[in-house]
Amino acid sequence: MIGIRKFQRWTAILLVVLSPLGTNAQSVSAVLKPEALKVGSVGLYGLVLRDLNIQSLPNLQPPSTSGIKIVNPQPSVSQRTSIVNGRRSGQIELTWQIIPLRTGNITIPGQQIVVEGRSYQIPPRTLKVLPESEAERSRFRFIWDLPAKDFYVGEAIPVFLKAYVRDDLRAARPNLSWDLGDGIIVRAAEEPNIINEEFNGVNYTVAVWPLILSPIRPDTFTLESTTNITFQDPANPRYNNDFLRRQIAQDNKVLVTPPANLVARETPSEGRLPGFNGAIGNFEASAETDLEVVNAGEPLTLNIILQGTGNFERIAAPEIPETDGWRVYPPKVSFAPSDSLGYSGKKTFSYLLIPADESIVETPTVPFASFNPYSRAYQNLSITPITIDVQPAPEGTISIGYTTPTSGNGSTLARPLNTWRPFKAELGNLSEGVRPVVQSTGFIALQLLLFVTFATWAGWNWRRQKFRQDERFARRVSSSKAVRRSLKLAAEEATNGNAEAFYIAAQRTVQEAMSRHLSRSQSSNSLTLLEISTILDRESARQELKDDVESLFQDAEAMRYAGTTQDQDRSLQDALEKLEKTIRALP
Amino acid sequence: MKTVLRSLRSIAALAAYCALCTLNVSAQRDASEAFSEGNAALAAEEIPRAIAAYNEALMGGSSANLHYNLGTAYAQNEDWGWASIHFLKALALNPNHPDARAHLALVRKRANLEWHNRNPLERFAATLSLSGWAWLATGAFWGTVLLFFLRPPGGSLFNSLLRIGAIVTLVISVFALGLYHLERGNGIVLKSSELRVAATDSSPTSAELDPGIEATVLNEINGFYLVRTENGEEGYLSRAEFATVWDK
Repeated sequence: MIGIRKFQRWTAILLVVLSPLGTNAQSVSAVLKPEALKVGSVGLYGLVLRDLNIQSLPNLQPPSTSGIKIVNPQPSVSQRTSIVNGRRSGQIELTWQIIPLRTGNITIPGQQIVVEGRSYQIPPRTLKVLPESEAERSRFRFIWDLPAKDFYVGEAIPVFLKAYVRDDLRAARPNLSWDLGDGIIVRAAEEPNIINEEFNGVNYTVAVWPLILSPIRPDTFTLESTTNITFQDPANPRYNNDFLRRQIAQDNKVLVTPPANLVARETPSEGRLPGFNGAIGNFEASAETDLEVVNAGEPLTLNIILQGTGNFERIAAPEIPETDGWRVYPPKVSFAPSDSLGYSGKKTFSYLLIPADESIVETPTVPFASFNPYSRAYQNLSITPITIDVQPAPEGTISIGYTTPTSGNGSTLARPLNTWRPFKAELGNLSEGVRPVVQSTGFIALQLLLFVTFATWAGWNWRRQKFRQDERFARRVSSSKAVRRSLKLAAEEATNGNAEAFYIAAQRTVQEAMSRHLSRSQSSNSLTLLEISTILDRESARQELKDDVESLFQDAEAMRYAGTTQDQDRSLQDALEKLEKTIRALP
Repeated sequence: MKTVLRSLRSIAALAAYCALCTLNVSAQRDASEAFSEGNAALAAEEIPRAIAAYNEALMGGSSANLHYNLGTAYAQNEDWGWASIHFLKALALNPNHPDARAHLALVRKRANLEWHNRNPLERFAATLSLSGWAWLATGAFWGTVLLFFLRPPGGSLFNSLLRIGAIVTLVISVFALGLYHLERGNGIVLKSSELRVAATDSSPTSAELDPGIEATVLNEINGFYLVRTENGEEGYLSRAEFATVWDK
């Protein structure tokens, strides 16, 4: 806007200044400054009007050229007047900033212009575009990041613009501009997200702008964007010049994205579902009413809620078809975005519905559908009826909200009165009566089984821990088992009449029984009579018990070495009984 | 020898299981036939025959659709009490049976009875059946027990989250079961009845009840239910006059 005003002001001034000019050597030429540029750097293209006797400055534009980006559509204007030998001559120069987008020779074509009814030919100019060095190229990168998919008219397409700045450079946050033509609506985040990324082994700081592009017509769009970046390069020798650092340490660079093509198609007509009204994305629809019971003629609210990701801003309210018995009012629409660009969120359509009378049992079906651009298929999101209990209007009240639909001749339309729904054709899974599962035998048995299993496991685990931690307990348990084993062996030998084996087993039984007083490392079969007597003394055992143990040991020794016992008249059964009594009495 | 005995035992167990399965399939087929017969009768608007066939099908087991169809038959016969109890049974088996809920609403409207909006807690409790909540609660209980006694693989944060998840699931499911339990004693007055002051046929009466009225069972004595209606009236009703949603 400011540029246009400036341009108009300059035009007026120029008309005054140039009006007395003569008509000698009138010409129009084009200039390039410089004539060789590196790709992505800024140059100037100018039109020079010499000695033109003009009343108004024509609206001149440089010709559109592939590979050249015009930075400013409104030119800078300068003028010069000189008087040589009494003869006045004037020159007007219109200048545009240009940026070459590709390397090679790019010719800006000539064009014919008409000024004050006279035709002039502007000659073509060729710009030599040089490639950047590898080192220069690795400093910056500026790209479009588009999803790899088909695009559709009306879709909200989430894309990213990424400006990479090599980590060793110090860059100010760049400003963004784009030129996408008039066929795409753009929503962009105000601030980019800053991330770090590695590309080709080089670390970059990346400014990422999330954008939402919405094509509004089927076409092939070329996406281009530029950004002007101010940076400091510590590797630049000028940067280390202390004297000039403040003046020259900063450089400017215009980054231009390589052109990216976006082909927008119409959504397919094949498979289009009823209720599709332009919703493109991945949505879920649900519905709820604020009341389950309502009086006839009184309003209730039906909320249709659409959640997910997609083109929320272009989704119109689902249309509720005219349904007998319901009066429907246009909905209120609210949208709660869950991101800054409104790409994901929850859109709610709140309809006011008024039932005519108490024969209504459910809300109307609302056809609705969306198109999923990723699966390239339509999704049925129709809203199924919600059961409503409509009570008769209270006596003495007049229903003012509902007008019964009438046919063309004014008679009331007939509605079916029998509103019972059809019976079910499928029996479904049979259960044993209407009983909660907690009362079933299987459920209770399963819980008992789980309990027993768990209790067994817990008991076993407790015993295992106890064995590990309590040495006395471990010794006592193992000793009891060994005593039972030895006693059983002694009984078998007594029954078989094998006296020597019986007494050996008997001695072993006593040793095992006393081993519970030993530490874990001590072996039970090495226990001597003296050690056993010491333990019995320590445990304050009765003298009679000590005598019995001593007698048993002596009998065993006598049988082992002499082949007989001290008391030859005593039978093995008596000896077994005495052994059992002794074992029971042992501490 | 032991191996042979073990094999014989396994074969006997397998045979018993197969026999049980056969019996179950047989019951399913019988119920299915009676159900189809009931549907045919209902389509032909032979309501008494449909009710008889559905009741015969109930001998083989219950299903939400069976109770729904039976309730529909009773409703078409304007037998609001029996219709209500069968729709409630259908909803007990499948809380998300929209047709049963719609019919129950319609029956109560036709019977001039109140119909209340479910509050959010009741809606939440109805997301699963009672059995569903019971399985979830027991699963969460045993999961909690195991997570506290065993050390599953994974980091301590993961284990803590697992334990918290199990406890939260347990609390939620027990809470939902509690909500069901509040409805547990509910039943329906099957026909026009008089509320007795004592549990005998010859007892004086205190109030008249219309079919379809909901009441809560407080006790069961001598074949009579001691019930409390929504209006707070208490008294006795015989088994022929009152039925509970859940089978005893």
